[in-house]
Amino acid sequence: MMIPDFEGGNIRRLPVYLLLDCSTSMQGHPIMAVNEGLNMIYRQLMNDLRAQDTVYISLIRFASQATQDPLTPLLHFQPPILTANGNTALGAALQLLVQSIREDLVVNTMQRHGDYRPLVFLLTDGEPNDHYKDSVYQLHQLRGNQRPTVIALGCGNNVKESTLRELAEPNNVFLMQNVTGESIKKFFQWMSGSIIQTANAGGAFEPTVYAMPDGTVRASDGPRRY
Amino acid sequence: MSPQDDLYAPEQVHAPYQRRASAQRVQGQQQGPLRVAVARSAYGEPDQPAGPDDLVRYGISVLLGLACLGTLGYWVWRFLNGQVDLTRLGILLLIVLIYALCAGCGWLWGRSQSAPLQQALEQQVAGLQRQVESWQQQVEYLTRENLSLQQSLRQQQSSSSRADAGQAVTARRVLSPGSPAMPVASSAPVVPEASIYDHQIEPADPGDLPLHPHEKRFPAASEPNSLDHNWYIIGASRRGYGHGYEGKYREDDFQIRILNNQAVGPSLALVAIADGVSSKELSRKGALASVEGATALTEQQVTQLKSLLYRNSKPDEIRKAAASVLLESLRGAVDAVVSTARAARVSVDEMHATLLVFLAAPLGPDELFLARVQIGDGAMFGVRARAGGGEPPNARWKQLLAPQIQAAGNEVQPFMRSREKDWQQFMQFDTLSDIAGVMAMTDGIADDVEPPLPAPGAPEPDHFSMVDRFHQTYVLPTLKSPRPADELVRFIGYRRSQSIDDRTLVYLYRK
Repeated sequence: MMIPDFEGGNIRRLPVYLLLDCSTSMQGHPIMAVNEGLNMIYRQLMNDLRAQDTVYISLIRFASQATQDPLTPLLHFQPPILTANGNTALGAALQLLVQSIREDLVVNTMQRHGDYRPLVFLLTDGEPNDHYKDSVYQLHQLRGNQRPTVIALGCGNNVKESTLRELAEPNNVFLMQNVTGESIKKFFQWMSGSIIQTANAGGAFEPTVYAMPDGTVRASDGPRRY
Repeated sequence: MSPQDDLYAPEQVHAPYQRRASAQRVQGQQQGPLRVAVARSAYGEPDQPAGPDDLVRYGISVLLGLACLGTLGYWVWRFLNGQVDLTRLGILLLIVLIYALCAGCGWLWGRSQSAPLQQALEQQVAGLQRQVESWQQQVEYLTRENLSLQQSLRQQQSSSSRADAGQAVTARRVLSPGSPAMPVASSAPVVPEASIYDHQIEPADPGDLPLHPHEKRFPAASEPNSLDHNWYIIGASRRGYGHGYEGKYREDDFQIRILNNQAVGPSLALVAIADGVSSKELSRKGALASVEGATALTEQQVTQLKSLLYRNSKPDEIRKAAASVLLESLRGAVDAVVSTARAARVSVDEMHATLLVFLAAPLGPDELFLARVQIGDGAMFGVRARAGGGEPPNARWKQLLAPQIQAAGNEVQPFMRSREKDWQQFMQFDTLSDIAGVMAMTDGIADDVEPPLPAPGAPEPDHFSMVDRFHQTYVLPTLKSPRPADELVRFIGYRRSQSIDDRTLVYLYRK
């Protein structure tokens, strides 16, 4: 007797939010590297069977304002082409992030599992031009499986480590001094590896064993190279 | 207008949050509506239109200009009529010279004031030029990507073995069949592996397979599995597809012990089910040690309980005796894990597992005494005996043990991290008087039968609809087989999206 597939029921998702700085300073090679990085993430995740089932991606780009592509199953995700122009409205981006987490995620209850804790990857090369403190406060108010794991990468000399530390645990704050297209792509490779390992570890954030780009420093390590 | 400009359309600027119709995106049917948030800027408003002050300034300037022209005309008229002597003419020229110098200075001052603005404009032009270059580069990149995808499509079409897998992804992109393929360096094709079910591999070191086979069943050949009043118990455990894919061992385990010394009282089943924590390398050993330790009680240790059950004693007395048995069982599990860790010279931390223990004593054809305890995220359900036809699952099923879901949802409560003083609060005791079957399971199955979420067509879904469907589809059919446990092992190998964990099920039922 053939065993029928078990249809229906709930699917646990691993929400992945990519907060990408598209301000004017990202023009040229950086934004091109980000575009290639997005394609690379898509390809690498598609090659992992668990990630295919689990990962849902939402892209939040921010310049003079922030725009969000809603959470989309990996199989339906299409890496967009980003352009860079405008200021750095990080606060608006964080506000969209908090709104999406509150509205779109299934929370855990006594009876059923909700979604896995979301992963948030932030890439920025400048200080916010808008009010972002309120959004940071709201982000820190999230609890349970809504509380995201934030990984922040600051590119170049215009990013203050203190700003990124307001958003993420020191272990998850990285600073990249020499920003090249290659280093940004390498960061995306690290990012996709981490997503895959997290998907395979049942949603608990697991940094990948891939090396970070040369010259990238983990904030908690001080001057030591990561 | 660029796509970026389109996103920042003027009608969105004054709304803090707006969603845009997906039709505005290319192939937006796969994406939901966009959300937009504007920055709460700290800077001032843009340039204001001319006000009354500006009009007054413009008027005074015009009047002064007219006065200058009038004065100059008056002096020219006097000069032409010979009313001006040379001394006065020299003075006039001096005044004109001073005026010209003042005007020149004013012009230079104005120019110096406008220089930053001009510089800003030049920077803006340069920025726009850079953006144009960036777009040109992106067009080149997209062209390369397009060509690469065409090439990979051709490769996939020529490779019949992987054609099915390749189509799933490339079909989403619009390609021009027949267009020339150029060799490009970028973009490896996206070809997901065919299926996790087709990649089941053996562990690199198969030395532990005799102790931890990929499948385990109860009863094994010639093993008794019957209890009083025509009750039976079967169990099955199998390696999950995820562990098979990674070449890992089964990390679930279970043990069933029948205590049926008829001289003392009713027969009794003592069952332990454990789920090794995946992140721990030796969790399978911890799971096995837990279930073996938990069921290693002697007949003497359960004699008092059986005697109380036989005499139909007060519920409190029975509960106390059952709690004592469960406590001894859990202590036995702890001792077994500790001694196994010592023997293997590893930390107990490497052997973490969840643990569910229950003891069941049939008291009649549809009456069952059930004592149970769980630390972790398995589950236990009971189904009513006299359920009539057409009753919804909610009316037939009862949750006997619920998964201990943590707030964050990702963590598991390992049994060895719990404290003895907390065990009592997890214990539950019941005499179920209308019962026909009991299912106990690890999270590999419990997660699959969680209550469904409300949906547009079913705002209040039946809490037990998935449990009932699972029971009807994968449990009841196995009882028709002469060897139900063998069938159960096979049937819990069902396929379900995202369900790749090890699966273990113990089923207690009345024939």
